[in-house]
Amino acid sequence: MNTVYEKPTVNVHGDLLMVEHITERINSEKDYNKDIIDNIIKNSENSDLSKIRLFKFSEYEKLGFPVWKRAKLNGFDPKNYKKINIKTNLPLINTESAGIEAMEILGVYDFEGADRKFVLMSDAFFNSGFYINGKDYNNKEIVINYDLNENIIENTIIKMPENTNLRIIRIINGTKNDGFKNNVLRGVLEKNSSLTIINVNILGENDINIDNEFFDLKENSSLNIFDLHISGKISSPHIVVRFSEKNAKANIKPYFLGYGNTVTDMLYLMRFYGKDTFGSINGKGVLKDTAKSVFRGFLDLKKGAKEATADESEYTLVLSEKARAEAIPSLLVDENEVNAAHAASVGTINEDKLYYLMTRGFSTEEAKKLISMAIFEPFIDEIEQLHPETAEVIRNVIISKI
Amino acid sequence: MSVLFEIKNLKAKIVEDGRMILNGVNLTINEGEVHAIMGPNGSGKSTLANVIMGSSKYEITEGDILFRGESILGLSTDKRAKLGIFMSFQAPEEINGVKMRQFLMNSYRNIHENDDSTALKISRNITSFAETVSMDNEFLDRYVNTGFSGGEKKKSEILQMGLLNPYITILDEIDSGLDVDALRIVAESINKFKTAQMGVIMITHYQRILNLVEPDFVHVYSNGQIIKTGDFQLAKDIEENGYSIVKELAGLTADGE
Repeated sequence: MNTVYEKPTVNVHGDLLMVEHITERINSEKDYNKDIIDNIIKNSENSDLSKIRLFKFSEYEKLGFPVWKRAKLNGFDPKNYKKINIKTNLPLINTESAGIEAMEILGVYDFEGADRKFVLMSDAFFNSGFYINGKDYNNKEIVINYDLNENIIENTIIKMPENTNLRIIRIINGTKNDGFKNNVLRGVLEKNSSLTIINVNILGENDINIDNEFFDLKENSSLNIFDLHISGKISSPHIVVRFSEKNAKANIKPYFLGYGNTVTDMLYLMRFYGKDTFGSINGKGVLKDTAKSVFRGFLDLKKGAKEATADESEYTLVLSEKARAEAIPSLLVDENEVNAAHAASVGTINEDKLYYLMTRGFSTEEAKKLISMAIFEPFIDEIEQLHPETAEVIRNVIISKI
Repeated sequence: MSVLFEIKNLKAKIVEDGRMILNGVNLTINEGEVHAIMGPNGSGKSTLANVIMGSSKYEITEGDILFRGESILGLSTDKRAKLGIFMSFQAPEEINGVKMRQFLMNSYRNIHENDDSTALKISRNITSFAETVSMDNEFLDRYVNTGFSGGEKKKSEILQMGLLNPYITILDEIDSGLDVDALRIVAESINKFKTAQMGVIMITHYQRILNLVEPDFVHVYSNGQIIKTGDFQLAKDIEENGYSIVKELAGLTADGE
């Protein structure tokens, strides 16, 4: 079985050789160790999974936790390890009990994630997560509610067989303390399947949320991701989409609101291999106070991805002089016959719009709030069509925080 | 009939470059009166409207603006709006992400703070005003002015005049960019929406709208000043002879100084 490994920076593009950044790492005395993994395996009946855990652990134990300068992460001390339960609207199979199909996906698909250490943490030590097979939930809607008062280390696998269709809503509710969630999600979309994921990350200002997601798109499959990030000491999505076969389509819509001293550190990577594939990343966000955002969008069109269309845009509205928005769009093209475009910009409140609203009796503050809220409205409207309850939750949170 | 609005020897400069843009404007408006301000392009007519609304792009250096005898110079734009001073924009802003109907509801609540009408009632009023200005209801579900044609934007402004029912209505080139049919609808709506308590300032370049909304006074504006005031006949003279009349008048004042 061939394995697939994706990371944002591929060292060779044509004749160009890139120098890879080496992440500084710090070992933690509280890191999960062999005793913990042995204990997990002792209580597990899934021997295939135990082998995978052990294999991942062999790499895990060699790595310290990363130092992220942009996101101000200086190593990490994991919390006490325990198994947890996560609320879902429909009964789901836990990854711990998943069978051979899921193990194959775990075995084949691997990636670097926001950091390799965190991917391995979820692979070796996951205490929660699901195996979701699209044929068991065809045309249904799965709602998963995560509570960051629990230490969540998730490993979820999604398989979308041919011609299946599924919508998954993942709502993450933060804490007032120092909640932690780390996730690895792998999704394989077979021919003509369709998957929509709505990620609603509503974090507290001291929560850390690292969300590593990897999707492989086969022929004519379609993936839609709505990825909302509100607050968080660090909210770090790392979503990789691999267009491995022709006519696959994916849209990612990252939206974010940062306030206080929060950091939203995003990476979206679309790698195109198949012909006539289509991928777009359209992000928008608002920053207040001393919040910071880093938006990395990678469009990587490989030789052979003829007539692929890749498109990326990002806009951040900055409401405070002390807020910082960084956008790092990159476009890598090895194939000549493609359509690709990218744009990123940072702006402040438009004075003319502000004035127009004020002539209609809105105070400066009210007008600013309205213009900021307007950034999110089209996104919320779209979610409203899919899941009105979630749209309402999002609208209320944003109104109260903006 | 009582004095509603007075502009007294108003002088203002552009904040950005310090250039003088109003050079002593005098204007008195009583309840129920329609005043047309006509002038060639670039004469600063729109600036006068924006100075009245309190735009931060301009700084008043001399003179005063009085609403019911009290100066409004210390008030921010939103406070002026709340007093009942309304301006329709020549090029209304598009605000993507704010629904038109919600924007209109909130604007109404802002301006009529003491009105306890239900949301349903206001919403029905909005629908009915939209019908008056021949605006398809579908536009009310769109984002503010987003994807509206020039004519639809102007109708949306007039709808707001009707809904907000201000005391002073300043229409800044409401006729620009309108075809004959749209012009007729807009003019008819203005006639319907103006009340005996309302004073209207119509800033325009052409006479054509004045044939439909007849002014009580016509002021010729040039170089940041009102240089001549007359009745409707003055607008007709300008239509016949062009703004050469302005040049003559401007010449006269220059000689007089």
